Amino acid sequence: MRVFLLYPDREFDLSQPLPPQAADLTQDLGLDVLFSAMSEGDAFLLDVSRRVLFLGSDQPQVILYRQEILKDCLAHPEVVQSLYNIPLEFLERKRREWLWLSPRHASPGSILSGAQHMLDVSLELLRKLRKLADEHVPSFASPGFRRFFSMIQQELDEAYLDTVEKHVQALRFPKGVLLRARLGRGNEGTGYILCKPNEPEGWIKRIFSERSPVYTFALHPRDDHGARVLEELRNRGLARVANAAAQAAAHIESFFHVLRWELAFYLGCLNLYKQLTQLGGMLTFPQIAPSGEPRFSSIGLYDPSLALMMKHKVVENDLAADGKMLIVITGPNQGGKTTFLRSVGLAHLMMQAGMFVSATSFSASLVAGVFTHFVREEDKKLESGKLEEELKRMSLLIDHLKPGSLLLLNESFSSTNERKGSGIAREVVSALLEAGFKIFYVTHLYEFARQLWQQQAQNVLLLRAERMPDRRRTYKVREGAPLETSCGVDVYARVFKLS
Amino acid sequence: METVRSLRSKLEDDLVRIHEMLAQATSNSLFVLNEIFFATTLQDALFLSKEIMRRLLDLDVIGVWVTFLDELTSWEEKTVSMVAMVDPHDPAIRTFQIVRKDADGLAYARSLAYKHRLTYAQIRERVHK
Repeated sequence: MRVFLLYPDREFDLSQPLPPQAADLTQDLGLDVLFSAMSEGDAFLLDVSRRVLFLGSDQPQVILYRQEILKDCLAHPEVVQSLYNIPLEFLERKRREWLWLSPRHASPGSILSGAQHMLDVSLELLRKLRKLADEHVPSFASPGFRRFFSMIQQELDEAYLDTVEKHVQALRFPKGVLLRARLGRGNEGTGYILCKPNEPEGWIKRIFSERSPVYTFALHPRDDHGARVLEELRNRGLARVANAAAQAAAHIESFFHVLRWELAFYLGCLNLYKQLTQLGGMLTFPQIAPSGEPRFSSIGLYDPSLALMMKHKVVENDLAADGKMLIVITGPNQGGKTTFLRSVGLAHLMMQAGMFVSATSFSASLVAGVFTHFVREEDKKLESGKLEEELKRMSLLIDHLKPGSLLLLNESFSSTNERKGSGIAREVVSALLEAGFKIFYVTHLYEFARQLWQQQAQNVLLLRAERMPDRRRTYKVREGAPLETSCGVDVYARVFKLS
Repeated sequence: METVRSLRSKLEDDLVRIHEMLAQATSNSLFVLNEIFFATTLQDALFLSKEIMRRLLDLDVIGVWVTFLDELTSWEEKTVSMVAMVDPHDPAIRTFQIVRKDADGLAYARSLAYKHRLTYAQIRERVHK
């Protein structure tokens, strides 16, 4: 039975490692805050959310598949919770009732008993699942859920469940075990096979049929050794059926695990949705631009991590950057530039995980990966200076770049004098652009930005964080030429309490 | 470091800390400053550094200031210019000797870029698949 709620044609590959830049992304984009909102303290939800977000897809059909499923979840959150509770209940009962498949050296008897018990519990839960599917298949519209519910209805129909129930009951062997054997070498018993119990015969047949001679032997009640031998014989006969039952139980358990895992992601999304809408944030399902031309346009884009931390709506930005491969952002300190950069990165990650994004409207082409290079404290081991540390990190980043990736640079190469910094920036950025990478670059390197502004290249966009005439920041980022001063003077005046 | 949680920018952080230190300093104090004001334009960094330098000199403190602003080293009478030397044959190798010398404007940035394979040509070669 296949869950297939994250991909239309396969399960999520749990063995896939997180991308090498996961730790950097977490630190630079404030992802901990986002994950915390998705998981609401649940460690399992946290792990799932992290994996799905970092291992996003670059296939439009997968993203759209998840978007449709998520829309269903948003429309019926209680149903999703009920579905999620089924594997949870299984795990809880397994834990409580010690239902575990015994280790290899355990006797077939105990393996069978464990498996039988697990199948018993599973059966109950599978019936619940079937009932949910019957009730809700009419009101779910996504291809993902419709397929899932139909599969449940088809594979777990009444006839099948009843048959399974009969077998599970029979595995208790209420009337004892019927084995067949033959004599082997040295007249030892061999070839023990479990037989189906005889059908109960009608009373006429019983009275009038020819009876073949039957030899019976009953154990003396205090014959311990005999009892052990009998137990051993019983185990030999049960070996194969024990394995079969154990396999069936394991198969169902694995189905419950996958169901729990894949639903956990949508539950995380529901939690996030609730928190962001509660503080007034807009959310939208992004449009995927066709591949070919680089596209990025958005209205009302904001940083969801910031909103969650501040617990209220935060400043939104509009951006029209279709056909642009390099977007340079200059402007005053504390003007909202880093926040803007984060909102771009988070929107891409969320879009490619199949989620909604924090904007009023959003349309972008897919990228192969998101990479960040933000300014950091000096290398604590004192082996290299700030600039060298930056260059080391940039070099590592380039090692991991996949073609078609998005890079978010925040004040890169500013830890040296401006002329040299601009030189390095020029070389690195032009090389990466020519290789087809898309870059958002927040910078104070005036010379670098000014040159770009003068060149007026088609694929470059220059933005500036806004500053009003009265020195107030609006945290808005708009199209504009770089200015030579970045208003450190204002911050100084404020801190040193000058007029 | 500018993080989501610390909502002040790095620059404001630097200035707040310096302000507090100046308030407590006396002429017997020793100041050690390491590459501050980098997250801002050259013009601003110079302005701010000169302001702080002026305050420090007014207090008559002793100090060591590591900076990439060559202009600061010759701006005031009371300042002494020192330079961390590099190997004359390979500018990427530091000798760790600090000598009295005029700032020669040779930030070894470009050689560092070369060392880490970040020149234009090197990057083109690295990302060429």
